[in-house]
Amino acid sequence: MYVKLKINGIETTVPKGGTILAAAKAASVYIPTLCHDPRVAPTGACRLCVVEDRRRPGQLIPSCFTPARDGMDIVTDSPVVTAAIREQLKLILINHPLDCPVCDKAGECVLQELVIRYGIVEAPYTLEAPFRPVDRESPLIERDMTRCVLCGRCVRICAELQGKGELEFMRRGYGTYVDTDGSRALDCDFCGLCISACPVGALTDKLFKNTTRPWKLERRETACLHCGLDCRIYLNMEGEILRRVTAPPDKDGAEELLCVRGRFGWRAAAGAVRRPPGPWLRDARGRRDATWEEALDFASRRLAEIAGERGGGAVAVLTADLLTTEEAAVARGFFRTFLGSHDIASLQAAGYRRLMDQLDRMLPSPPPPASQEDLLAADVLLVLGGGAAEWHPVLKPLINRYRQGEGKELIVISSWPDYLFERATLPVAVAPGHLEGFMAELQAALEGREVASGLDASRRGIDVGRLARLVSLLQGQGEIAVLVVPDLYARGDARAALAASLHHRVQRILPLGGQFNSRGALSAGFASPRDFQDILADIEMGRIRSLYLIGEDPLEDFPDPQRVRAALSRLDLLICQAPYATTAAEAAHVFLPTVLPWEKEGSVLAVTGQRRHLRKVMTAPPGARGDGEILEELRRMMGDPPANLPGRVAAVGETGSSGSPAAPPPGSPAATAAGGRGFPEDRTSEANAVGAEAPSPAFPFLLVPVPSLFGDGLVSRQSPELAGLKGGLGVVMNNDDFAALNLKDRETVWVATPYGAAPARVRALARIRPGTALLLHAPGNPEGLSLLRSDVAAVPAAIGRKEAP
Amino acid sequence: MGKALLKGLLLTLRHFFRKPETIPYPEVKRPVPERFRGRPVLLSGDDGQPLCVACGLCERVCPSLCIAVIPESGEDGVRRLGSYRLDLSRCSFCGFCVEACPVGAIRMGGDYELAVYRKEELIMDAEGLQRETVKRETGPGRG
Ligand code: SF4
Ligand code: SF4
Ligand code: SF4
Ligand code: FES
Repeated sequence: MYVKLKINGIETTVPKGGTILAAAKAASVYIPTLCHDPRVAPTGACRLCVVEDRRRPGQLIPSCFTPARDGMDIVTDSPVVTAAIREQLKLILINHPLDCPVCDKAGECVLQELVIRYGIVEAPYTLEAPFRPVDRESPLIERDMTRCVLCGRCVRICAELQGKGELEFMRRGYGTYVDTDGSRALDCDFCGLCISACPVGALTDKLFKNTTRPWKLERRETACLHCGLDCRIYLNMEGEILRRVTAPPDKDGAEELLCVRGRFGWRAAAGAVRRPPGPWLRDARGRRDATWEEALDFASRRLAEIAGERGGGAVAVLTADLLTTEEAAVARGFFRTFLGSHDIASLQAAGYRRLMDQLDRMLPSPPPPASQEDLLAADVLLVLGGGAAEWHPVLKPLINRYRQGEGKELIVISSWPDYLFERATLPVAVAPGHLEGFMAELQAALEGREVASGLDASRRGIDVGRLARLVSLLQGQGEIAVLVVPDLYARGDARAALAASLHHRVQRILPLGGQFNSRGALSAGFASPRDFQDILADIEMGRIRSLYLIGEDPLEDFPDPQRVRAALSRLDLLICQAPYATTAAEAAHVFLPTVLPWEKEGSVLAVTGQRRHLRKVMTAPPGARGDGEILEELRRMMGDPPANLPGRVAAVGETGSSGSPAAPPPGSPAATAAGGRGFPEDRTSEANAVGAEAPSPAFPFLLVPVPSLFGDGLVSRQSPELAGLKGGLGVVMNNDDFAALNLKDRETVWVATPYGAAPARVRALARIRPGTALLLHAPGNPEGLSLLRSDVAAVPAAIGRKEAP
Repeated sequence: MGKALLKGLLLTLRHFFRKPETIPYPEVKRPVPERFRGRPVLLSGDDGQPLCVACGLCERVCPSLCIAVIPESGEDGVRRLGSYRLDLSRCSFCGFCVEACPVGAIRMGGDYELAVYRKEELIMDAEGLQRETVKRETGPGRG
């Protein structure tokens, strides 16, 4: 249904319900706006968008929220309209400080542009200035409300899209201002959407503040490095200096969404971090700086020796998925085809790779990519597991957009109250450790199979009524899209199995938790069904003699660092090829500094299936080289493939097909377990989480490690801003538990588990199940990691003021 | 013939005792006219600091691209001048920077003796730009 109308004499159409402003846009007619942000609902606060209908002269119509009607004959520049706009601008200027020379917004300020466009040179009205707060204390965002024009864009975007409601209008009438409750510093998601919405300089980016001017910036488009959604970003460069990150406009001209990592985490790639100046070697004489030739020569010689002596199976690779797809193909060629290695795994993307691998096997065809539009188009969004919006924070505004649709259902099955869970139309809370078991039973029930225990809802702490509604929604008519969310460290198979079992009912399945180019690496076949758990056991048993780290650091990204350190010290060769010198770099025999994706050219494939080609947008540090370049050079130096040994033979047999994994060496734990990917010890994951590790009087809490909004990945951890927001290891517990222990907000407490103890900052949350505590920011924190064990969703823990035994 | 010579000598002699019209430059310097456009000068406040608020408009408007303004945050969080650089070897003395300045922190000065031994000395910082040696002629309408 379309409406036909005229704008300044130009015939145009808009879909029914579209505004006059939208019609004018379609007709390429300019209408001034100040309070209108296409991302949020219009509110009509500024009245600058007024137009006139020729059929009713003199009657001013605010175009941003007035629906277009058939036969309208709109004029946007009549004397009446222009006079009204000019008058309105003068009124807005009464309470605007006109401090453009020292305002960061100058040059991209909507008000400034309008004042110039309409030639307002006098300020005829004066009134006593009302109270307006100025907040320079909050991290990352500065609020100078003396500049605020009360358009409400920040208030709306924070509530409608980010779902936070951190900013609110205070007082009434002339005294109105925007502030947080209680006039405190911001304590929110720091997505910066409010900054992107503010048309004036009232909300500004503190990292950018007073560094330059917007007209000096060149915008270079690339992708965010902090997670697998690969959101489009503009690097705002002043020469070769990165000043800030902004979001590019989408195809309709509205600014796209970003999260805190994308907008504020850029100093991980520019400025703040020290990048290693060149390679180094560690041998009997100790650690010394080396030239690239020396380092590559050493690495290639040792790799050839080990692979020649013990076969390519003695070499394992861990990748942080920061490679471009082309580089991943090179890496696959080098490690799988050339060396004959069959252990290619990731730590940070372990959950994602496992989900993809399982879905690949269980589905008749590979999971169809689900783009953001596909998610918005679904009627029922089923989220299996907690932490979706913590892994990929732009899902917050995205899912809020989805929820604004009519009749949309959001089902979240989670064992902790994550962001989406709290906003679900049907939240299904499962006790920690029971999630896998519940999903398996749900799958059996949906398939009509007999379940031994029945859907024993009460045992798993599930509301029976909700369960019935869940089943009826899944069996109903609506289009279903499924988000499958991995745990931080546990390896459960049930949620992928459940998603796969629904595939005939479900339009889209989107596994989450991928890193920058995880999907691209998988598409290039740079993967194996084995994960670090298996590799670690093989190192301990002496089967794997060499570990090649590409950006990954098992000492920072895997539970139980003591065990990992002991295992790494048994290796004959540890090569660390990474953009940053992390803990493992110090232990490595060879360290090879690499460039970051912004510093090279190549394609990436987002978890949502969008493939993009990225240009080189920043100059690389002088000592660093590209990952693909290094691997090609190593291969060239090694000449012929290492001697024909069993490991090699296995690898030759599988060249060509990316889907079929190499057979694990006979006798390895993986080979003995069903399907080639069982657990090293014969335990089910459920028994792991609740059976063996139930809370005890000494350890009354169940500690669940969860992903953090501020980024757990390697790149996010290098950003001083994100690290500052995290504030170290954190634990979140139920209000009553918190009160019973008599704790104070953000106080440092000791968290002890049977494996270790660590100090952490504590916060309370009402919706957490009593007896459960969430552990935040453990990745990258050795003390935090030592509390945990891999392959368990939760560990028993004690929390208290005093140091635990 | 001799009479004409004497006439000429007399004229010379008369001028000899008159106050000279020339000045012994460079020992003595002439004040420059009021609208003279010499080397730009950054004006200082009572505290001796430049009045400049580092808005960067002069840098933007300069057709010779010879100004670089680098801002910084003051203790109160307000933008202030970090460093100011003007490359006199490129300056065309057009005065656009003066017109653009919203706070009147820069004006065309009187200094015209700009010869230096090394080109680098023509790149001036805020401190150098605050100094002005040549005085202006006080014309009508100027105190
Ligand atoms: S940063 Fe995001 S969450 Fe925080 S106030 Fe702004 S819009 Fe709201
Ligand atoms: S702070 Fe900015 S976005 Fe928010 S109401 Fe004021 S002018 Fe509008
Ligand atoms: S959602 Fe992911 S890709 Fe997008 S801005 Fe945030 S961290 Fe970056
Ligand atoms: S843009 Fe329409 S009222 Fe502000």
